[in-house]
Amino acid sequence: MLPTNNSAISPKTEVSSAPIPQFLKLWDGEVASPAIASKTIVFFDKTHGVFRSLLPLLDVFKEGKLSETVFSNTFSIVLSPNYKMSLIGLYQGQTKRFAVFDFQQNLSRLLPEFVKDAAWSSDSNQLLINHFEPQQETFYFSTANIDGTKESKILEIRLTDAVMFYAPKSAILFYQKPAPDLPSERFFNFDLKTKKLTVVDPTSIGPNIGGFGFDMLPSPSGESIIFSSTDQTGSKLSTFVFNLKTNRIVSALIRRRSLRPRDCLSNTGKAKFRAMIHSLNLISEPAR
Amino acid sequence: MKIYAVNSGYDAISLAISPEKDFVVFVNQADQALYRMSLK
Repeated sequence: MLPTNNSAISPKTEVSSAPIPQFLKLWDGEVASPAIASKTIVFFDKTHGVFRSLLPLLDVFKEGKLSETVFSNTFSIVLSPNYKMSLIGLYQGQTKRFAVFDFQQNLSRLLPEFVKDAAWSSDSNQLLINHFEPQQETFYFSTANIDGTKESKILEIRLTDAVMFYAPKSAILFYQKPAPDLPSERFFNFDLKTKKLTVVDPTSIGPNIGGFGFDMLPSPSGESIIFSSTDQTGSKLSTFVFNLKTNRIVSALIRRRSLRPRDCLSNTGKAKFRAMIHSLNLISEPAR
Repeated sequence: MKIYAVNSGYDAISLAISPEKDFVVFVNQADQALYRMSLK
């Protein structure tokens, strides 16, 4: 549910009085991390550094601010699954820091310096943290409360630039972010309950799957992922849906240039629906 | 499988689908602005 800070909502902004066309520009300015909470569209207005909302009312959109707090020098914005908070990555000088901003309380909490990266749990109650110890130059995953307290170490890792997801059903998915000479040929699935670490090697799944341009996104159910990879030249991009239970590819979705799973897959998590997009060729198919 | 738009000219990132699956919002890579695409 959205925060109910009605006082922060301005009277109205009329975007269009005509019937809504297939494509409609909703906000002119730099935008990050749009999401849809029920019928309300929420997003971060990068130009002004504030979170905004747009509520469709017939053929107009009522504009609101989710808060008056201005955030500058941001490098990432990740809304919590319940849309009540946001993880904010921001620069403090040259240092990357993370903060959690609560829309309802209009309160920002800076996370400890050891937080190299963070991700929401599916219930928005916890954070998965990539914890960096500079003295020992070690990384480990931990879970913590959303203010960074009550941290609990989970797993030591040897990845210097891990991309991680706190998937539902108490699983952590992660992989090393690929670099030109360092392909990501496998990803890891760690079950928090059984403490079992599963290594999945996409190159063993099928031919012509490299790990140079590797990207992944778990489905909200946590049962499958979409991933894509390219060869060393950045071509031969292949995208797959992979079932984590059966360790099998469900479908090879599309073989086109510039498909980005993290950008292109969205899933309501309630209905069985999967959609992907490439140059706005939007395709949907029932989840399997 | 259903295709909703072809060669629209948009390069869409950061997509989100409405719970009723009747529209999508996205950021257009070129101008970083927010767009809505109807799925009806």
